[in-house]
Amino acid sequence: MPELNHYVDAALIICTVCIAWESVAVYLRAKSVRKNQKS
Amino acid sequence: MTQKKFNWRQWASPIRFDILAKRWIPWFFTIAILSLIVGLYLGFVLAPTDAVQKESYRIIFLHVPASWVAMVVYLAMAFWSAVYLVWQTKLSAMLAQAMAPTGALMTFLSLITGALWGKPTWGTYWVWDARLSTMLLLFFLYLGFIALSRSIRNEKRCFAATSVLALVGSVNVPIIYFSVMWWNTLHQGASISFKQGIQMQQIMFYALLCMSIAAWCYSIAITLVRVRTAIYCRTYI
Repeated sequence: MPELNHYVDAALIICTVCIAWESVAVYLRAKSVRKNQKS
Repeated sequence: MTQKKFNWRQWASPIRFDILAKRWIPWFFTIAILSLIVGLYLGFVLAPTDAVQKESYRIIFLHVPASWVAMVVYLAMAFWSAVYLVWQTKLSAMLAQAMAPTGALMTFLSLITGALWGKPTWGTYWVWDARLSTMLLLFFLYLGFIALSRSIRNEKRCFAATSVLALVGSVNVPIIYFSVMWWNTLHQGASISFKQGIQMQQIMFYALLCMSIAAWCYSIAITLVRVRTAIYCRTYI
């Protein structure tokens, strides 16, 4: 496995955090809307 | 025998579209995750080290898919906005609005990963080069679109204003794409083009292909989830 430098590490971390943040935010919003609809 | 004519307008109904989107979302997410795993393995484990750029070149496996998605999502937004302005189908305006946050995120990732690639390769994080500046402009266009869509309460006026902004802003996308040909820029030209073919090793190309499929499927899936949420908000709340 290649030794990645810190620029590649930083890019991987930033992309992971941003995508995870967006996915969770969209999921929570969808969940709360569905919850409101049921109640 | 009577032939049933296909009516494409039936899919303009938000309720019908919701049923379709519900079926598609798990497929797109599954393809995105599988492509991401394969792409990461090919790009960050199997692909050989570049002779000139060393390990830093691997950032292209994140930067290029993000840039492609960022540009094409804006064109898709402009397309759905035009559809809204012509046929007044609310679903198309909702689709355009649902795409904007993902497009903005992809543009942000493209700018950040580009800067992280630029430092070890060019010696600087940022230059006011034509490609980079027009990409930054695209990011501001996305932010402007999101701000506009959240600042107008009247739905019809909101859809009309954002649609016009998306259409006007779409002029920037071909400028981004052709900027490396029109001006003498620091940013390199396309590594994959129809005229010159693929100018990279096969394994790198497959890694890029998998990462691009992952980015595409993720963007489509997350847009569909947002549209479904918007449909629920309009219908029930």
